[in-house]
Order: sequence, then C-alpha cells, then structure tokens
Amino acid sequence: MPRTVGRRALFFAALAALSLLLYYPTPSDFRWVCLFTASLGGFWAVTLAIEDLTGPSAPPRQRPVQPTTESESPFAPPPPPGAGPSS
Amino acid sequence: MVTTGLVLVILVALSFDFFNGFHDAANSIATVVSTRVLSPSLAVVWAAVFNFVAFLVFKTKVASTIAKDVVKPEVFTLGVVFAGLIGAIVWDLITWYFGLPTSSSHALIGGMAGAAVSKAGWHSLIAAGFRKIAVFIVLSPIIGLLLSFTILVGVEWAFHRYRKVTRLNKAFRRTQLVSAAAFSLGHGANDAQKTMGVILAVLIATKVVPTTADVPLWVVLSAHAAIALGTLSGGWRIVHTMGSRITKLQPVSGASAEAAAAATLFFTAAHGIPVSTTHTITGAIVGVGSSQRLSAVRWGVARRVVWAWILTIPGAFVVAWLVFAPFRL
Repeated sequence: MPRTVGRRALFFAALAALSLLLYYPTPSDFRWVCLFTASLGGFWAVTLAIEDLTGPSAPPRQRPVQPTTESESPFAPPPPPGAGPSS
Repeated sequence: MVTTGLVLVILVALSFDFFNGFHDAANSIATVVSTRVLSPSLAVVWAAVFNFVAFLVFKTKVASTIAKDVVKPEVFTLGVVFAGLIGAIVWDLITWYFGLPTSSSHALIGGMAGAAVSKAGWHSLIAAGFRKIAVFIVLSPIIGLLLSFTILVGVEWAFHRYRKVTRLNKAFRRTQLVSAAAFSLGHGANDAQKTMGVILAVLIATKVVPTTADVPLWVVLSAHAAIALGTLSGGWRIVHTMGSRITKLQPVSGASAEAAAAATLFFTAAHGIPVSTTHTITGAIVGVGSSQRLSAVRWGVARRVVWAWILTIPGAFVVAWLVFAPFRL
C-alpha cells in the first residue's frame, strides 16, 4: 500500500501557511512572531511527513481493545470515557 | 472631577472584571481539574491567588493599549464606556448561560468599539491598534498550539525510556501545579489589565488624571481583586467544556498545555497585546491532543468554540451600539 502524507502533517502545514498569510497584516514590530510560528509549523509538517513516508507500514485497522485498568504510561491514551469522572 | 456617574462606571467596570473571573478564569483550572491534580474548589483558590498577585510581576502595558490604542481617547465619555461595558457583560452572560467558552476580552473590545462607533462613527476607531489585536486573535491560539505540541513531544522524547511510571506521573502532577499557577498569572496580567485600561480611559476622559498618566495603584489593586473574586465564585460549567470535552488529558499533557499557554500570555502581556486567555489555552489543549493523533481532538466541540469566537466581537458590538443609541438623542 503506497505511503501518503498523513493529516497531521497537512494540519501543521496549514498552520504554517496561515502564519505566513498574517505576515503583512501584522504590525512590523511583531512580524517576527509570524515567521516563528510559520517556521515551527513548517518544521513539524516536514517532520511528520517524513515519519509518515518512511515509517513502518500501518497494520490493518483493528477494533481497539478497551483497557479496564488505568493506563500505565503517562503518554498512553487515556481510559475510555466510561472510566472517567461523571459529566 | 469625581462624579456619581464616574463612580458608577468604575463599579460596572469592576463588575465586568468579576464576571471575567467567573467566566474566563475557569480556563486556568480546566486542565488541572480534568487530570484530577486538584479538586475544583482547591483549583479555584489556587487560580485566584495567582490572578491577584500578577500585578507584582507585570507592567500595565495591556492597560495602556486598551486606554489609548483602540478607540481615540477624545471619543471616550462616561456614556461610551458604560455602553461598552454593558455590551460586553450582556454578551458574557449569554455565552455563560449556554456554556460556550467565549472570550471576555473580545467582548470588551467589541463593546467599546460598538459604543464608540455609535457615538462618533467608524473613524473613532484606531486602525493600527485594531490590526494588532485582530492579528493576535488568530496568532495566540496558534502559538499556544505549536508550543504545547513542541513541549509535549520534547518531554516524551526525553522520558521515553523511563520505566518508573508512577514516579513520573507524580512529578508531572507537581509540575502541573506550577504550570497552572503560571497560567493564572498570565490570565490575571492580561485580563485584569483590560479593565484597568477601561478605567484609565474614563479617568482621562473626565480629567481626573492627565492623558499621560499611568494606571493608578488603586485601580491596579481593585481590578486584580475583582478578577480573583470572580475566579473564586466558580465557573465549573465552562471547565467541563474546556478540559474534558475537547480532549482527554494526562498530567504531562495538562502541564505542557498550560506551560505553552502561560508562555504565550507572558509574551503578550510584556508587549501590551490584549489577547484571549480562552483562545490561548484552547489552542494549547488542541496542540497536546494533536500529539497523539488528530482524531484525539473532539473537533465538534472545538468547532463550537470557533463559532463562539466568530460571534463574540460582532455580538458585543451590536449590544453596545444599541445601548448607547439612546444617549445620542
């Protein structure tokens, strides 16, 4: 299956483009802020695109297994909505 | 000269600040409550304290922008300021009732603009000041988003081999207390100064202080006290939307989001740019959600937030325009 650039890379590219669009409307004192956000957005767009294009192929989609206990890693996805505090 | 009308307008301005604390300041505690670092009642006390002490950290540049760079100072009268404040307060109440996380800052700017245009037409607005504010309406959430994403990815990269997960979570919970405090400092600095700017404008308009005056100390203290009291009065209704319905948060994500938002607010306060703390923290929360995958962000809720932003300035503008209209007769 051919690899393609993911939505996250495109999202960050859009943020970079939006920052550049704001360059001329921005007062001259603050135009460097637009360049900063465009650079940061562009960096992540390129990085994520490279990851999408060169990373291992994604496995076939499977129904996710719902964890019944609190996740062990601080970086793991949080518990499903039913396990959290009440709305 | 101090008149009854001046005292009334100042009280209305401080009421707006109170409602700002009531309505906006829940943003300070949304992430720390969502990750269960603090209970809601402790979290509001934590946020209120740092809302108040922000005056010790930041100068009053945002207040000067509001007083002198948005509407031409000669247009300001007691009636204009009063109508602008009423427009902003009414809009804030409407969005509070429906649980929409809008921006008190933009409601105030929209209200002032509406009242000024109602009095003196479109040329009463200062284009350069509006341009700066308008640009950072869009830029502040983008900055928050990009910074929070970068911070979280950096932290994940730094700790990806660390195996003592319980200890790591505990450390990030403590870090989140610091980041929440920093965000509340930024919120206090940015939002309390908008009210200070309005009060300064009306003091200049009534010739109580000269046009070159800085913000009097009693105005600084009363504005910060008002916003802190508003924070203490709660805002749980908004917390639910911000913290838990846009994306689910872990302590490390909450800390990253608040640190990024705080950095953005510190920057804008230091440069006298009035921004929305709501926009900024929302952008930061979207940023940490995006670090997992875009589908981790509940875009339906984020879309409702965007609609509220689009409607805020026009909504407050129209209300203020209508409130001032009888004064022209």
